[in-house]
Formats: sequence, structure tokens, C-alpha cells
Amino acid sequence: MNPIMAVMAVLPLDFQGLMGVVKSRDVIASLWLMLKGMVGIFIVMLIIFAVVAILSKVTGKKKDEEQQDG
Amino acid sequence: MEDFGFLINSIVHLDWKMLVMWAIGGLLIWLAVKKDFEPSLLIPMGFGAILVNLPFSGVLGNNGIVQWLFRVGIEASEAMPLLLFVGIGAMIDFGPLLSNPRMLLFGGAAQFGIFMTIVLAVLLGFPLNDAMSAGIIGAADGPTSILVSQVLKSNYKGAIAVAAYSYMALVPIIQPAAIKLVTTHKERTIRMPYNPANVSKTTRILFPIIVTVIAGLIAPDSVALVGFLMFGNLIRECGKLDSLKETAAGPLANLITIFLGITVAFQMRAEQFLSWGTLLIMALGLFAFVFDTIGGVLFAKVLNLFLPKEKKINPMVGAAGISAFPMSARVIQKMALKEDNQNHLLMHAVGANVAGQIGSVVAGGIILNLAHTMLGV
Repeated sequence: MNPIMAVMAVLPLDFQGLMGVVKSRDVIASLWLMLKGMVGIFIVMLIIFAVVAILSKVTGKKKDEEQQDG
Repeated sequence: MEDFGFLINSIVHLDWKMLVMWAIGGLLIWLAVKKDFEPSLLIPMGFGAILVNLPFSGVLGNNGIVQWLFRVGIEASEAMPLLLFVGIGAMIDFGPLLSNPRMLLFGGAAQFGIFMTIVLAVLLGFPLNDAMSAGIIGAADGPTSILVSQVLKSNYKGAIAVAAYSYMALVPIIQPAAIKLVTTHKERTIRMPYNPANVSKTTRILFPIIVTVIAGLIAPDSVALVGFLMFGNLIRECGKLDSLKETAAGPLANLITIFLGITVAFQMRAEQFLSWGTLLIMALGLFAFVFDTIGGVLFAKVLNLFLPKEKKINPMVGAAGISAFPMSARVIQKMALKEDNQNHLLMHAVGANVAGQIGSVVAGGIILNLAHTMLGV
């Protein structure tokens, strides 16, 4: 457990929500999830972006060379 | 007379909840037939809702066909949504994305609604597994929603499937309203010239393999989702399996679609479906779609702060980063033409839209990964 979650887990901030007791620990966990999730998605997309860009350059160049040879 | 009591045995066991579910089933069928809302899924789901809410229904129980289909096709290995992905992969042309790969970023940004919804669901008092499952409605991708809610053992699987498919059909209504909320007329009229780069066959073939490896290495739980989607795409792009491509995109996808809807209806039994939670899940789904759209639009606006004038992005393209393909791209094109009848954004929007398809399955995998560590699911 990270330090923020450890602190929040012991704070008495729970309250009654529409569907049950809202635990401060869960709220913090969901915020962490948002941070980790969005960062994770962007990392995957950025890596794919970089690889596609490189691939397009390499295969594009090869195609140009082939056209010039022909 | 008592000898004929069996004829009314079922009728006397009808209760009001079952009748409400028949009405819901009827409503889904009506929406599909009259309003053209995702008919291929809402009709089987609507009919299934009636089927499983008949007293002593023969489709339930250990020998019941719907329960068996659910147990084997979804519960055991999530086979049905995954097999459908093979068909979807075979249908998708990633060309517009490969010729303009920066659109991939919108496929990531427009998943924002998923995580906003998770936070809101937790604030409403849903346990984390249900909150994550509600959030995944924002993936705007029916099979992903079904799969994630199933793996996380959500109590609202039926509602989540209904919400995912219903809101996908409502994209033409939801997105324009959300886009107008966060853009000005001037921003909506930004023109984007389309100069597609040539995409080599090698790139097209390597793309599905590379995406699978990258997604798999970073979020191993996404391998099933991404892998099956990309397997379908590899069949499409390899150029050697035309017959399999036709089968995957046609008969396979159709067969799975027929039975997926009716199988998901297993989760629409009155005792499980009729609750305040279901209503809240439906509301959360709408919230997720709205914030996906807003996330994509705002991300484009942030990018525009750093781009030169001639390379600015029309923020509406960001909204197409949700996975509802191809509805979202069409909505953006229609909106762009309404604002300026010479502004053609379709190909940019299609690029962002297919990126959203990748983004949504990656998001599903990442949520499952995080659920493993946080909930031990």
C-alpha cells in the first residue's frame, strides 16, 4: 500500500452513499486507479505510436528505394 | 378440474417483477425495430429478457439452454465476447490510423470517462468491483464491457451489457450535446487537410502483431482482448486468408452476435435486474460516455496549445476516440459539415475512432490488471 492510501485508510472519513457506505480508502483507490489507468493507456498508445511511426518510415523508405531501382 | 391445474401453474406464479422485465424486453425490441438502436444485439437481449422471466422457464436451470450458453460461452472463458473480437478485427481497416498515427493518442484520451465513472460509482457507494465494471461501459465496446464485468464478478452484468449497447446506439444524441458543451463554434470549424501517408503492406501486417506484443507486455490481462481483435485483423491484412476473413467478418460475427445477446439476457432475471443499482448503473453509463467525449475533446484542445496554426486539430476529432465504431466518426463528420459545409473530417475521425477500438481493449486489460493487484480478482 502506498503512503497516501495508508494514511487515508486510518482516517475516519467514511460516509453513507446511495448504495452503501463509501469508504475513504476506496475513494483514494479509485483516484489512484484513474491515475494509473490513464497513464498506462497513454504509455501503451505512445509506444504503439512510436513503433508505427518508425515502421512507416522504414517500410516507406524501402518502398521508395524499390521504386527508384525499378 | 384439479387434473388440469398444470395448465395454469405457471400463470399463478407470475409476479409483477416478471411483467416489468417483459416490458423492458419489449422496450429493447421496440428501440431496435422502431429506432434502429443496435438491432443485432437489442433484439436478442430483449427477447432473452422475456425468455428468462417466464415462471419455471425451461431455458434456466442445469439443463436450460440459456444458462448453459452463459456458463460455457461467457462464464467459463468469456469465449463469446472474445470470438466476436476476431470478427470485429477482421472488419476494421486500420489504414486511416496507420497513415496518421498521432490519432492513437485520442484513442487513449477518450477513455477518460471510464475512470471518472469509477470514481463517481465509488462515491455513490458501489464496491470497487462493481464501480470498475460500471466504468468500463465507457469503453463504448459491448464485448469488453461484458468480459470485464464478468471477470470482476459484478452484480450488475445484465445492466452493464444493456447500458453499453444502448448508449452506443445513442452516440448520435449524446456526443453532439457533450461536444457543444466544451467547444466554441470557431473551434468546431477548424479545418484539417487530409494528406494520408502511404501505408505499406508490411506495416499493415506487422501492426496487429506489434500492438498485441506491446499491450501484452504492459498489461498482460489485455492479451485476450487485444490478441483476438488483432488476430482478426491479421487474418484481414495478411492477404492470404480471404476466405477466413470473409467468414470471420461475416458468418462468425453474425453467429456469435445472435447468441451473445440472448446469453447475456441470462443476467436479466427480474430478481437480479430490478434494483436501484441497475438504474444507477444506467445513469453511470451515460456519464461515462459523456466524459469519454469530453476527455477526447479537451485533450485535442490541450494539444492545440502546442501546435502551429496550420496543424491545429479540430477538437471534435478527439471525441471520435471512443470506441463506438463507426457511429462516432460519422457523428463528427456530420457535425463538422453542419458547422462548415466544406470541412471534411471523416478520415481523421475514422483514424481516431479505430484508435478508440484499441484504446478501449487496452483500458479493459489495464482495469483487469489493476483489479488483480487491488482486489485479488
